[in-house]
Amino acid sequence: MPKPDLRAKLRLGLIVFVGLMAVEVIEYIVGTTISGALPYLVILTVPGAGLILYYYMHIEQIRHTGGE
Amino acid sequence: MQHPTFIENRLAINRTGLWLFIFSDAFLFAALLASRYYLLGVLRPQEVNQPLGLALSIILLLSSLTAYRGETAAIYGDIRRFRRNILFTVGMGSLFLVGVGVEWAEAFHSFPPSTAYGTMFFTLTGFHGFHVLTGVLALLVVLLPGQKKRLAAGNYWGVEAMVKYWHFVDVAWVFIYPTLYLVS
Repeated sequence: MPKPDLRAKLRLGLIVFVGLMAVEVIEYIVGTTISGALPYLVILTVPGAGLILYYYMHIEQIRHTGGE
Repeated sequence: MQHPTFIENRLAINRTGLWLFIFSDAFLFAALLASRYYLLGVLRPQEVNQPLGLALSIILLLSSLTAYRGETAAIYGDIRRFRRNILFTVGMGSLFLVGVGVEWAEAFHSFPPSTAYGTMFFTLTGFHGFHVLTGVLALLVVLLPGQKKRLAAGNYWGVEAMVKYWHFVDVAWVFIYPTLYLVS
């Protein structure tokens, strides 16, 4: 059995993935049904990229110049 | 002999270097994406295979999830889970490349590279596909037997770096996908 901390982090990864999938599907629906969807698509790419950068890539590490 | 402060800060230095590389690479993608809008505006041929684009996106997002799970497992010392997830990521990356190959075969007939849209399509997907290929190879490197000893010693920088690069490839696709497949 995985440690509780590990389990929580794996669950967080799954929640982020569900969020990403939702954004992607909404993007697809908007892109295939609305003409002139560029502004909506631009808005939708922000949370998608943001979720990956923050939760998967840990971009906040840039601020910690002293390491861990 | 290395100075102790240098050793302490080594991880931070490595991370800074990787982020600088990622930012510089991101500018290349940004330039290519900007040229698509500059040359073509929002024009897009009807023949673009949108469902395949969505499928490719799902494959890449799924691979990012498994890459994250693999990295997390490595940090927690769960080697078996790490190997399983990274192997799955490699598989998804390879599947993505196959999908791009299928898309290229279709695209050569619908909008060949000699057309304006074809030029942008093949350049962007080719440039990104090359990143995916190098990402797959890099992930295979972290699966080599020597890595196990490093992980056991608490040194997971190699895994972290390769997985971060993989996520970057995914972020790039988040922008490429609507630009090529959805905008009209």
